[in-house]
Amino acid sequence: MTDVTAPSMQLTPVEPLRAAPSLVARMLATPALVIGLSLIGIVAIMAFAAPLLSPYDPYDQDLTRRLVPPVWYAKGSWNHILGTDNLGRDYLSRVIYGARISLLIGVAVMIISGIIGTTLGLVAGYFGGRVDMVVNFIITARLAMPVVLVALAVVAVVGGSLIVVILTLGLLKWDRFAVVMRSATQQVRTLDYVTAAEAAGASRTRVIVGEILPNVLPHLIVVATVEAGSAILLEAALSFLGLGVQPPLPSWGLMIAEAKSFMFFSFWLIAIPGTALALLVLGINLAGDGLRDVLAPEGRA
Amino acid sequence: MSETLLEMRGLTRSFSVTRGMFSRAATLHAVAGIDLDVKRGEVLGIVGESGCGKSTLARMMLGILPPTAGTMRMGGVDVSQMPRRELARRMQPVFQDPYSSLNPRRRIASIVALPLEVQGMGTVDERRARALAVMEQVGLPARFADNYPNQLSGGQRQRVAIARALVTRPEIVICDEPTSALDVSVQSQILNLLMDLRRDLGLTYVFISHNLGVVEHLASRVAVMYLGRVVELAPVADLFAEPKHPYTQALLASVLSPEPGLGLPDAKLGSASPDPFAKSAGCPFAPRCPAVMEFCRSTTPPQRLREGGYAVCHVN
Repeated sequence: MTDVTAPSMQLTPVEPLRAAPSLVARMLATPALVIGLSLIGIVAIMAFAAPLLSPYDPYDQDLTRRLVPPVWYAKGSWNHILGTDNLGRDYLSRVIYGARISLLIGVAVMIISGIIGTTLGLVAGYFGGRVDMVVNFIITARLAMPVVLVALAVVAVVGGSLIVVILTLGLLKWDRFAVVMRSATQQVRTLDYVTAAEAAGASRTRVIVGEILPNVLPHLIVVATVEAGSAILLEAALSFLGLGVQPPLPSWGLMIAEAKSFMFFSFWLIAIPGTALALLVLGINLAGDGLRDVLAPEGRA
Repeated sequence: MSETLLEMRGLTRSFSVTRGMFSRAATLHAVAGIDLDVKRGEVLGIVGESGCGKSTLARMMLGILPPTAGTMRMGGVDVSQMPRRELARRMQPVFQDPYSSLNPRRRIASIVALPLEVQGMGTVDERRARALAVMEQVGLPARFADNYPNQLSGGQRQRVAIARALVTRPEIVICDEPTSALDVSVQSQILNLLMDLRRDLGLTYVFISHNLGVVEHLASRVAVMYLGRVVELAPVADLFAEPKHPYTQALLASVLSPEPGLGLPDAKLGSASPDPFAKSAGCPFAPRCPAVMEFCRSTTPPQRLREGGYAVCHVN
């Protein structure tokens, strides 16, 4: 007796759906994100570990060792790898400590303006009607003010300090958050899953935070990174004009400002903080682009 | 069968629509005074062309859109006095497009469990267990639980939407064109699923559609809507065998034949389209009616009763 039915009765086992590739795997597959995060990571390490990394005190002046060139110049020395400035302060130490200021400004301004702008945009986009009109008026009023002029005026009146710069920029730079969040929310709001949540009895807060916010997050991240980069550049500009962070704090913008009279003979004084600034902003923008790609659900299959 | 579950009286929703910056805002009556009862256990079909107010009516039933006038009672209780969550627990929607009705950032189990979460029912584990049980009931294997909606097909997504609607054990399910976004081959699966669930769970459906074939197949009574009003209400067999209202007759005549070569059917409605802004004392259907008479344009048509329903018309 042979079992003739056996071969044909075999069912192919059901393959379970492949789970979505993990977030980390998708992040690693995006070169822009990896490069951007590495650049930010380097600056962040510099900022957090500044006392450990910097060979000298960034405020320590030594007028006998003024304007020592970096190590790759003929007259450079390994004692001061990036040379010294016009007051004889070790430039590497100042660049490392300067990372703290730039990063702090970028993150703090991003958070303050992000909270203001995202709240306004979500509320305007979700409720529409009168609320939208009021928010639109506030946005338009804000857009009519030139950021740099207002920031200059405020800093000139109140006096320049790190806190004043952060608050001024934070209270000024929320406009793009509000505009982008508003239109993104308007799009998502009309989709049926928002209606389904409402029909399930969800509160407005739950609908906005649980259903809408996760779906506008990619836009939020891109705006946040652009704004962080632009805040860092604005701080540099304000410091360059002498109205931002005050000396002797080692801000990259301030270092560029202090170096401008030595531009022709000691070029490194401007080039080094300028490069640091450019790399950080580049890193932030790359990371923003990469994160958007990774987080966009359409790409997942 | 005769117990009235949902009772709508004079339900109206109007929108104020701005037409250009300098003209005055006009009032659009999307739903203009609907009286309708939904009986326990029945399938009430609602048909009508695009823009006749079917979806606005559905949104009002679900309590998402407050009516501008009129009342709705559920089991004798005025819905506007009922806690929002109680209504949500007893009535749930299934939407047309399963591609936009599932949050792309939630996993399937979490989508299905959302109404439970909102209602604060059970612990996280209990909610998940209940979600998996309902998924099983609608024919979704548990292995989908941790996938995202974009990994599923249209038919599977609609099953997820149905599971979400059933997870709180509602009494009424409002199906707003639940199959019109699906492939034809999948449509019948979903319709059969809906009918099986109705039988097993004793559900009541309000079935909104412009697909008359589906309505004929599923519904026990049919309400025909035109410009925000119910123009005819009848048991399904009577309506399809003997439509009274000229608009219903035109709708039935407009059904496409599966026979190629027969061409497009002529509904004899002319080319005029309904104007929701028009305010006329007479019958709203008069401008398009093939059987129109002079007094139709000036006099409000009466509600002529027939067995199990009525038609709002001067002529028939």
